[in-house]
Amino acid sequence: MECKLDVTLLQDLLEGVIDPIEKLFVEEHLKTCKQCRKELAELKLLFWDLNDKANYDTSLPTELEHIKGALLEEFAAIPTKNTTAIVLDVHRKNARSAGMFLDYMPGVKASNELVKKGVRTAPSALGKVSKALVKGTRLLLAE
Amino acid sequence: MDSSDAGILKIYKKNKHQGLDLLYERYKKYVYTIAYHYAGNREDALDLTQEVFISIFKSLDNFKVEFSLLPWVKRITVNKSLNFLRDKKETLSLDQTNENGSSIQDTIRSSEDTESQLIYLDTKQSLHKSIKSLPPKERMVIILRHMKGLKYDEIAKTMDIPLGTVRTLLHRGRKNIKASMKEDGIWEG
Ligand SMILES: [Zn+2]
Repeated sequence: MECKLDVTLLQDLLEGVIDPIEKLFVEEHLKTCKQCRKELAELKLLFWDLNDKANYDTSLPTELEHIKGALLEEFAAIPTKNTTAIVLDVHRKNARSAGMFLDYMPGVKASNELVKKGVRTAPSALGKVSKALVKGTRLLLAE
Repeated sequence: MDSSDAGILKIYKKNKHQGLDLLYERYKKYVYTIAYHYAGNREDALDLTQEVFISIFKSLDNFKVEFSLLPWVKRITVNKSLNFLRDKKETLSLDQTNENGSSIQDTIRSSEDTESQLIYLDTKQSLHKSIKSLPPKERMVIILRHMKGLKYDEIAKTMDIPLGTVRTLLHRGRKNIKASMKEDGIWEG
């Protein structure tokens, strides 16, 4: 005979979020229902794997560093030299790295957006650089 | 308020660059791992991570010091993930090469080589595959509950959905994952 127990109760039992009365009922039911005992055993294996932290170990890609660099430059560039020097410096750096960096960095769309927004709010020196960067990326994306 | 968070905000007020740097370092792993398990691949996860931090950096000036950063970061990560749309047309092709001549695909492949050395790869891989194939909200509740260990009411708050919905989504998500992992023969022998 097919068992009619709501199997989601077995998940709630393992999670400890089951209503006390339902818990008594389910435990009684398990004594006589082989099918549910099998389901519970499988669920235990599932919960073991789901809760095993090792299953979610993720290596952090180096691109995260590039993203940080780009974001910090956009949101909090360090003004160490006079404006002209900054423009030239950043410009030179961009010219050197933009091609390579934007080529493989995922989220080019997002960073373009960021750069465009940056143009609106950034001080004029950075604005110029951002515009140059936007142009640069457009060229790269054109193909 | 977490003391490290308070410290970061204090530094941020004095030195924006340093504050943002510390904030990024403190939360990059948190944000990236959720993004990675939600998006299912590192490329999209990096996109997502960047979006999340843009959003955080933009509104940090308005952040009230008396609140903790973590719930806020969590919420932004979850919302950005759920709204994440893949626009294939505008993303770069994987076959495109950079100026060193190596394709994006190569870069991805080489960085994933290390993972294949793990012995429990089969379970891990099957779990990933199963989570990846879940509908977005089921995927997110599973990640928050089982990977991040959030309580049911925390999930409801973070995702802005009723508690009953959290339960239902978890039930369905686990049922689907179980079926999928069983199909992969994970618990045999
Ligand atoms: Zn039964």
